[in-house]
Amino acid sequence: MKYQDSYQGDNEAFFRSLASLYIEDEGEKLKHELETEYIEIDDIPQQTALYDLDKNVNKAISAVKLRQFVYMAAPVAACFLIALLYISKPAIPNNGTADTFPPLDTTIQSTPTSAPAEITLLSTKLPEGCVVTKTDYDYDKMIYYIRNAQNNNIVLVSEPFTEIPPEENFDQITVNGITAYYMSKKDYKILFVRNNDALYTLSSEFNVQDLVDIASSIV
Amino acid sequence: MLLLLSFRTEEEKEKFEFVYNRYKKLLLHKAFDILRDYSLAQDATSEAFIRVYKNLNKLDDDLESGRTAAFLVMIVKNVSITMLKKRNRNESIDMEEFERPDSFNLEQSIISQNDISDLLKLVDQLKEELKTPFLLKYAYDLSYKEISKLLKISENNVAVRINRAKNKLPNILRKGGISL
Repeated sequence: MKYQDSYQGDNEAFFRSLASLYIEDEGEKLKHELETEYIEIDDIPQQTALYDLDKNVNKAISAVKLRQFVYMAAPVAACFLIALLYISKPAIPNNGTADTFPPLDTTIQSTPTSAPAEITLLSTKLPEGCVVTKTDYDYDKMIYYIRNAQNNNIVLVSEPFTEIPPEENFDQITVNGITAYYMSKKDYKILFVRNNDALYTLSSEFNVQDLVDIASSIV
Repeated sequence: MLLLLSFRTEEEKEKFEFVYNRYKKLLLHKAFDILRDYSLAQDATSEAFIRVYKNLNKLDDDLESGRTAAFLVMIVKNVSITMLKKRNRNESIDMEEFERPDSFNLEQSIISQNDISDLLKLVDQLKEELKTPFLLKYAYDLSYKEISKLLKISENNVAVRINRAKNKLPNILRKGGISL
């Protein structure tokens, strides 16, 4: 029998037993350590570190949950959008209010005529180079798909204000004197800002400044 | 439906909260032992808990068991050592780990050695970066893919480290007085 064969065959069971014994022994030591006062020493740097740990773990878990939701929702949203491309009519201004809704390509404009009356409409001139490529609605939310001068895609959702996400999970920035909350991760950026009774949510794959520029034109 | 799928069940949420509250001080303490800096230890512990959160199903049903404690400590030690290496830029590889042992049967050798605790002390001579994947495979029965995800190293790297541990152990045991 060759060395390698005998080594692999005879000792796997031994490694399993050895590892299990080791973990059992180590586990008992750790359980004892957990229950002794050594861990409970009231040490200020340790207490500060524990406080920071609570905050950071909460923040990180929220980010993981949001990312998981986006990954789950993205394929469904993509299918929904594709279906809409084929069946929905293009958005047109409401009759008799052309002066309220500026030209299509540089501003947010009205909802499709079939949208429910209670949807809050948004009328604003976007930063230079921005184009609204599509609008949509979902219950009480208005959704605007925007492409900016750098060809980056941004999604803006406008809805009645109910609550801002937990402040401790986000960083803050001031937009035209109003506090906005944002999160910047490797593959997505999101920004929330409230103006009067409306909550605006902007999201993009690229950079936070794109979101701030558009938010500045809204609030 | 999507919302339900993307968020943890209540049971899993409670499981994580229990594990976090019970073990956070212990893990912080272990991370500090390696990093000697509370700020870095806090970062390492935070990262360790995120990995646990993403792998909750790997935990034993008995969350207060020694096995659970040992599992969590292994994760935080792994994260801490990685951070320490990055900080010190010390990533030298011990070439002894590539040495192949002579052919012999370990189990038969151990039967002749009665002192189990001495044997376990010899296991501690393995470097953490080899010991952790070895224990995760043989004590917790995790696959290479699962270990790779937990330790954030490639599957290939997991296989190499486990193999190195298996090669090194017989040498350590022999030097520790295990008769052949």
